[in-house]
Amino acid sequence: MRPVARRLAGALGAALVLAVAVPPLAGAAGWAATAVLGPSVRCPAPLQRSGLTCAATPPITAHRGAYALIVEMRVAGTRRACVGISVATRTVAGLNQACAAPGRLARLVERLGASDAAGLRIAVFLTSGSSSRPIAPQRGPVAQRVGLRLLAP
Amino acid sequence: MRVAVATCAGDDVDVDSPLLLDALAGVGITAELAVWDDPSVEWDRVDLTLVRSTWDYAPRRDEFLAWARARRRIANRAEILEYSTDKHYLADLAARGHPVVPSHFCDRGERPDVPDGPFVVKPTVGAGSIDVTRYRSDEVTAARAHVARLHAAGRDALIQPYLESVDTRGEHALVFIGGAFSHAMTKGAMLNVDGGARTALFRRERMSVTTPDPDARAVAERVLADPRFDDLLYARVDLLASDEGWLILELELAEPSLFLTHVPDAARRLARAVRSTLEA
Repeated sequence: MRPVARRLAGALGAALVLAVAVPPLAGAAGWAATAVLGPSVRCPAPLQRSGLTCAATPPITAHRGAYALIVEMRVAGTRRACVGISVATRTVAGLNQACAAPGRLARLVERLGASDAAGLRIAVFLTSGSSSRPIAPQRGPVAQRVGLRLLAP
Repeated sequence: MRVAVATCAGDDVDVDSPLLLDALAGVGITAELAVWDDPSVEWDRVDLTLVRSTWDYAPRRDEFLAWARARRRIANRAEILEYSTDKHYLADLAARGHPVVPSHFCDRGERPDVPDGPFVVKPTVGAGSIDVTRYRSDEVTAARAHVARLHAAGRDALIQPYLESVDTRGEHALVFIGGAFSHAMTKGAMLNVDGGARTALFRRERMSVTTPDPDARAVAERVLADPRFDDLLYARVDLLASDEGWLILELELAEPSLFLTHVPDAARRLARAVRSTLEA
């Protein structure tokens, strides 16, 4: 196994926006309104001495009806950064990751059904960004700031 | 302390892994996901190999078991993995007096004998619901063809009646960690979910945390009370309700999903159990 730190050498200064959006009402345009999940967090979290998850939500009920989970990450540092998300509801669970180059926006969209409304849990963690290895949380060498917001009806 | 959490390559992701790795780090264990058949992994550098999501072993079970036997320390033990990865263990459990779903094993060279009513054909070695199909009583020809395909691929078949209770009461999955009951889930009928409902990154199951029926828990605890299972780090017992009481559908001791995303405390329990194992 290769050292984790070597694979994480690029994780600097990423900003992440985590959003849940629902389809517009009939006749309306655009996505529905937002709710803030929490203030921006650091990844790893401040004073974090153990654990690999930067931020995790308690179970929430996000919406009524089908919706899409949108994750946006903008890297403010000078190196490419990658963040993973774990999404679980009462009916689905999944992992994904997004990487972004400095100054660029990365976006993930996961479409979820009406049956996935309740019990939504989201966790955010740093990843290596490897597409050939399983998505897994990694320990980052340098703290980075992560914004976490929830868009909900 | 270093632990390799064994998984598989590809898109069949283990959604429990971030929680587990986080929990292991929380108890002071350096852990990393490692693909079980990745030749670049240096298994000797870890104190324990924890088998978790090696879901692609079925077509290469012999290779998988050889890999497990070669590990200096692995959980669950290689002998347990061998036992649990071939559903012939259901016959062993039945012979020991445990209630199991009626199971007709149709090994290579044998003709299938199907029960009255709807039934299920599955390979005796398989992970998840791959190659598992439910048939109506008027679909015997298709079922026999299914068995023939399994035989042609060098696989034995298992035929079980489809218990209608799975549609109404679901399937109970009781998870045990470090020898103690941890939590229980009610699983909807996976066989009623069309393939399109499953994507590479998302496991879609009708799933909820439940308080297990005391009789179901008693059945599971009796099975695991067997001295052969004294040192299990994790176990899952899947049960179905029937007119005769709770019946064991599967005894998952190799690579069961533990549904940690539904019960995050269970990840911490497993991490503590791993640490206890390493300190023993």
